[in-house]
Amino acid sequence: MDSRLYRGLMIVALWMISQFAWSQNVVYFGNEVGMTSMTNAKIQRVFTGKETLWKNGKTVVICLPGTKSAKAQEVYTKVYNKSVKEVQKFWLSLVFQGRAKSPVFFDSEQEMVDYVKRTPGAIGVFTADKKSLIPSGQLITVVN
Amino acid sequence: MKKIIFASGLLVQSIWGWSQSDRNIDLKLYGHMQYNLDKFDQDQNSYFSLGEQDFFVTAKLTDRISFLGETVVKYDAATAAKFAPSIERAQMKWDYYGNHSIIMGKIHTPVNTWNDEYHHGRLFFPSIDRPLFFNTMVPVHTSGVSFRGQYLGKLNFGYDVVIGNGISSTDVYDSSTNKAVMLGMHIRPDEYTRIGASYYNDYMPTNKPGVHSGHASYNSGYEGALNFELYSLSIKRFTDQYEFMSETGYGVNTTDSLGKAENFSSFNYLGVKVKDVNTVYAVADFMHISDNDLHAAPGKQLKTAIGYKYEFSETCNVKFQVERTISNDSHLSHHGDLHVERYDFKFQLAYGF
Repeated sequence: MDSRLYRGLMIVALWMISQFAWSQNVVYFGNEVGMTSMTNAKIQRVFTGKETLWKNGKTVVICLPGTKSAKAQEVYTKVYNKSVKEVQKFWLSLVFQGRAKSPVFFDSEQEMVDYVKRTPGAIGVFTADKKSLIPSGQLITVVN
Repeated sequence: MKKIIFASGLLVQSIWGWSQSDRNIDLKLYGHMQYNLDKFDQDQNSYFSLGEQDFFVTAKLTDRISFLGETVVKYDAATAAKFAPSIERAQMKWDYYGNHSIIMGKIHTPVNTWNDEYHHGRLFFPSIDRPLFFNTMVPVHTSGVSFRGQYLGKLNFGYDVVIGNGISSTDVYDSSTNKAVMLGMHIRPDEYTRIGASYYNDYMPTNKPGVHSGHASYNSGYEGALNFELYSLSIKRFTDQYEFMSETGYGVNTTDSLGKAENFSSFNYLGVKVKDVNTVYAVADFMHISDNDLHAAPGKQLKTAIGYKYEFSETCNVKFQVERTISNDSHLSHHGDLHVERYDFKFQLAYGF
């Protein structure tokens, strides 16, 4: 009886750990961004508005989950290590300065995928559990 | 009047509709409202005021060409309605290579961090008012061409080279053939810090205050030639725990009649953040305009203040500020009063959405 309970608890714990680890991962994808892999540092520069043009000459268009998206906080924590409010404040300020174009915000992953598909230079990010939505050839691998 | 309101409504609606469908245009509104209680000698005033209402629009015209406009509707005693629109920024930007761009139009002269980042958005101001020298020494706007680079290299180096109409010009005309020049550079060694320096020069064959020389122009009556120079140094570090900002200006205004007038100003701000949404801050702001200056009003002014900011959200905050201002010249005092010492309590509600 004890060993069955113990095994059950172990399974539940492993499932929770796997869910937690899964939720901490995000995937990046882009359309005509000129590369299929990026370093963490490059990703950081891109998603903080420090890159205007890709090396292939296309304009950088950042796609993020909108505030109504259920996964916004997860993605923002992973990408910016900030709250939704802090990220929104950051972009409001940067756009007001005239130093970057506003990201495009989406309430659903499918909308983001569709937008990236028809926008050369666009780069998007969402949680890894929706990875299957990304069209082939658009996934960007992050390397350290 | 009804036609104007109707047409404005249609315009806003159509822009809003376009922005929703094509995502090419982004329209935002920033603004503030304020309450002031001030006391100097025997006088005491208590009043609410409607602050600037700032219509901010950005648009992507092509992949590399974009537009940014900032039009402010603000109090103007000279008009019948007592409010008038003012175009504060209207600029076309061409991203021609990497992080380098060329901007043409009316810009906020990037002589320091405050003028380059906060513009008319009270939502972003760390304290209630701009530094004092914005009224006397800072050439707030330039209509012309700007060459800009940003986030270059490991230190995120940035440069601005601006050539445009001088201080005495209007938004549509400059009687002088020589142009004002500004050279500025800055670094952002980390995400919290910006350090910058700049030099601005404008030779005015005929000295006169213009719409670009601060938002409280002063007419000295001198109409001879004047060489206006401003050296600026900005240090800003805003972390999750504390905020520090220092804006220093050293100005040299040279005339044949009274020689070099050396002016100095230093604005210092220190804030401590408590639990993300609260900031307790202090301000020390000093300005000295030399007695032989023929462009700005001579005098000294020192403002010290303590304040508190609460952020309801990224789109709305309130600030409370208590300040003491000592000045030895009537022209530098608020509302042109003749008093040398005054106390103010200010409350400001700022928003943007």
